[in-house]
Amino acid sequence: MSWVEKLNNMNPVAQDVALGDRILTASVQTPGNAYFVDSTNGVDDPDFNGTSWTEAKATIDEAVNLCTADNGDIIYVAPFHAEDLAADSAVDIDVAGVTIIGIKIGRQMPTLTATVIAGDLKLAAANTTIANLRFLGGVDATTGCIEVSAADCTVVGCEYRDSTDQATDILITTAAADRLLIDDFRVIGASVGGSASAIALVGADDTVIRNCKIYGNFSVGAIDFRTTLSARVKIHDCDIWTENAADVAIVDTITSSTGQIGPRINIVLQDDADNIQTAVTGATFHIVGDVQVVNAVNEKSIPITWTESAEV
Amino acid sequence: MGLTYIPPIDPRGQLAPGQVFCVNSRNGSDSGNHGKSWDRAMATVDAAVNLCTANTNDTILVAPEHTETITADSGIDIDQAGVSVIGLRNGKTMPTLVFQGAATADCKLAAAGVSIHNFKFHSNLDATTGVVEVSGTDCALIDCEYQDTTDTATDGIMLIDGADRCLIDGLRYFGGAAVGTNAAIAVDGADDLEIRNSYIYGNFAVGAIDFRTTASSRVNLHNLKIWTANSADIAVVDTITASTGFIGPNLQIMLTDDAANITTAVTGATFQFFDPIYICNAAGEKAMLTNITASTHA
Repeated sequence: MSWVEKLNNMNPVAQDVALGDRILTASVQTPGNAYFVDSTNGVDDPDFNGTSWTEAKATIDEAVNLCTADNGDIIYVAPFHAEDLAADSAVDIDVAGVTIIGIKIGRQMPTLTATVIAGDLKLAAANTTIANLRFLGGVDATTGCIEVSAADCTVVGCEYRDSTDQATDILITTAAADRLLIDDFRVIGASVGGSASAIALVGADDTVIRNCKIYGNFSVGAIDFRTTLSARVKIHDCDIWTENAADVAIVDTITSSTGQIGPRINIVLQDDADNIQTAVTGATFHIVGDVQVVNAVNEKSIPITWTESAEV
Repeated sequence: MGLTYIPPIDPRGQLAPGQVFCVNSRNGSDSGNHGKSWDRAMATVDAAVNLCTANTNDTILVAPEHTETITADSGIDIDQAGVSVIGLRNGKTMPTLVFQGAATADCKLAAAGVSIHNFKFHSNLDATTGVVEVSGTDCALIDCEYQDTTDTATDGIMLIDGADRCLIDGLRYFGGAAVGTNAAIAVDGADDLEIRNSYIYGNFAVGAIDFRTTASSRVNLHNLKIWTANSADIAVVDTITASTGFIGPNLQIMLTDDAANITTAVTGATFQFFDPIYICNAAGEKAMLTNITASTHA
């Protein structure tokens, strides 16, 4: 629920919010400490303790360094915040349990731009979360501007866009990223070739990918299970559109990954060819529910043509 | 959609960085007031916009009973990047903008990242040409309502070339039943546009949603109810041709004529379609799925 909806649902309190003088005094109880990041007005200086917008830090990593592990600490990031990912681990969320929340209103949200190939934000400690952050690929061939390398992490409400050429991969994991949740992730990749995948999972057991919209030109597949098999994954409620002649949306490159694909996955392929079945490629996956594929303009989708289960 | 973590009211009771301005036509004033409290509210939205600073997350809150008459092109010009204009809403009571005096009278979302929430737009003049115009990137029109209160608009909402990644969510569009309207939403080159969770009714000679003038790439239209009372019988049309994107799922379309119009209810040779897209073309009948050619594994 957005804060606008919350305001709307606060009746009769909303009357006071609207007409009284308490508009800035509503509060939300949270455990732990709150820190604030604002690249425009903040400063990464010890004199700025990061505990209010007026004392905000200038970079997310500086705010992470203030956090205490497993303390419920939250970092709020201003919607106009802009920060470059100019090195590997430029933002290293290495404190367990930290949540980073971009303030998002409408379509405005904080922006992190990868300016070197290895530039990234890492979710490197357990139970860390990022929400409402926009990532831009500012150089060609970035190799994963979001890297998840710890268990029970969450990426929610985030967006990626190729602004210069195209990423090789966008969100990648290590084999430690079990129980990862990727929710409401929007990828607007480039239409030209150069990308391998949007999401590359390496041994991320029990990962859930849902409510995502992924567009790009993926030579391997929009979602690629590689290097180490991932067990019991779930992918559902996603739109995936690939412009690549490989015509693959989801692929278990490593083989032997398992999990439930569907329901409510809509796939657009590039070529009007015998590619409906292989739009999802993984011999040890199960297709459950509606997985629709369309492979030509001015056509409507059909259910993926995998063999149906039979009562035998 | 999935979970939304958007708590801009932080633990210290601050909404977020940036200034908050208040607008209330009932007791506000654009002369002498600073707009930083309801007691000193501005009288018009545009005056509040003029107090904002770009890219500082300034927010304008508008009282539910606020009513404002817009009589000129750019009568409201939200031209500061990142500004949010939020109507406070009690049930169906929300701020109302009345457009009259000139067919070009409009509210413009003219800078990147601006959004407008919980507003009613009343077209109180015949043949208005887009009472809401979006020309900035990454703009959003959330939970708003449009109504033809006098005659019919020519177009309701206009998206200008470059309004990329615009989001229209929760729109309720009550057009006039009589002829005179081309489109509820006219889109001129808005790549990655998403229109969702909306209801659109009117008499649309071109189509309820019309992609025109410049092709729009990778649009996404889903979860829509569209009802056209025009004998053109078109809900979505790519007039310019070559626009691309997802059409569906969960479109429910009502047409006027009991005729061979199911296939063309959505017209665009470069769109791709995801069922369910239901179309009903006669009273007393239930809808059928679109009969656009299905893909084949070949």
